[in-house]
Amino acid sequence: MLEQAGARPEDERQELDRHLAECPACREADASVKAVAEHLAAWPALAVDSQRQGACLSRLVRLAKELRARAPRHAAPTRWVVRFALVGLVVALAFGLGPVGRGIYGPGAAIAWAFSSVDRWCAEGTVTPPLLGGPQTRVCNHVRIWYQQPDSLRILVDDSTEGPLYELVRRDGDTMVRDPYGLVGHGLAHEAEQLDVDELFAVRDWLAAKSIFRAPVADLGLERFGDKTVRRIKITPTGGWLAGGGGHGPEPIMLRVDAETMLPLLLETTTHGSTIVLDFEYGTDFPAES
Amino acid sequence: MPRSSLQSHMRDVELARRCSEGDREALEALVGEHYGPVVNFVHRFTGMREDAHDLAQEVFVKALRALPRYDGRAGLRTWLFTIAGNACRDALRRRRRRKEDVVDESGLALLVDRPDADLGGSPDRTALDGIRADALRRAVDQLPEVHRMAVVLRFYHDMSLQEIADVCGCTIGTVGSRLHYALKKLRKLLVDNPDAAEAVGAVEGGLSG
Repeated sequence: MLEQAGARPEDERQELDRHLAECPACREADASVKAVAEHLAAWPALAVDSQRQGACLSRLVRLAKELRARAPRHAAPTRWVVRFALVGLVVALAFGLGPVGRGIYGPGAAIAWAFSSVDRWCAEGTVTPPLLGGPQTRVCNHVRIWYQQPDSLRILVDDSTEGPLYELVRRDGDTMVRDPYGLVGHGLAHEAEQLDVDELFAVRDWLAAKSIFRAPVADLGLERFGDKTVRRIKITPTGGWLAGGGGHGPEPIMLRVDAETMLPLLLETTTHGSTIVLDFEYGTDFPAES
Repeated sequence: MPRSSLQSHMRDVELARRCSEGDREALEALVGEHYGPVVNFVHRFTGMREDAHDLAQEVFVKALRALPRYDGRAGLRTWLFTIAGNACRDALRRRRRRKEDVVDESGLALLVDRPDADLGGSPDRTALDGIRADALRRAVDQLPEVHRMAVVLRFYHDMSLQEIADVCGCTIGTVGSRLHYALKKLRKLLVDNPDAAEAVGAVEGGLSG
């Protein structure tokens, strides 16, 4: 009833009209709102004085200059943040994008199938030691990833009350990147733009290039992990950036997956001298951007 | 998120980024799009007319300082109105304190309490469509702050319940409840018994005039 004053989609409007035709109580309430709304319409808007508006703009332009002059100098951006975000993206897409392509068998396929059965999940990760990548007062060592079938992805790097150091939102085929400190530039956005979720084999090829599922996958057996029985899986990248290790040699990606569902619970890997740990949760709502 | 909504989100985030970098064109777009609505929100929520422009300017200054923290989770308009709402509440608190000071010193409280008291004879007064519109302003003024804010955002700025909830920092249910009580009271004052509102106006007008 209260939504009456705002714009409604046509189908909702028709449904409301049908209901009003049948329900005297709501009809009365609706008439009451309309009567008040008519009265409220008698209060005209203040005319906007262009001089005052111009004064406001001038003040803002001056202030913006002052703020920029006072802004602390940022540390030189490091490519670490690119790689950190990229790892998040690769992991997210590797496990999130549905059926496994040809030629992938064993535990890797089981994990991918398990992932394709869940509608939504999120992962939270850290990098140790922390990697400086943003302003001098910020430490880039935290990432959150949300995924929802079929094509919604959000990555937040080092989110805090001051806002994230980096954010990527992909939804309905559109990708939005927020990179206030210019840490990542357009590289990662370009990676995401290249994905075509309607072409799963293309995605698989893209993933293969990232050396996840084409890498040898070993089942290390069962163990207790908290109150769960988990299966330990070792993936050894054989090519690409993850395998490079920045001079440290290839390090395996260790996964603990739920022994019953095969859904990953924890991912750990060491690459380029830093340890990346991602915790997974399932059924988490995809965050609303606005 | 619908495509148009995502595009709007991206546009807001981009505009915010450019503004915080001091891009004049972006600042012009920000002020051009939102200055009028913010001034009118301030005017209707606080009842201030002349001070509405100064207060709106303060809102934009605060917003520019806070822009690096704007994360795009709410629309830029909603975010600006949140800042405006806080600025208005502060202004109303200051006004109440001034009113108390005036009562203490001269007993002329109503002159301060009615910030539109200087409207007599102005073109704006004419535009208010006489007694009916004046009674309306007084009726809205009688609502508790939180109810008044919900009514102003809903009926003068066409905000959705979710947007109002974001601005007010409460749930959609609370917004619905506030609107319900506000409309009930307004109906009583404006529709069922308009003389009451006009009488309030006449008494106040007499005291202040």
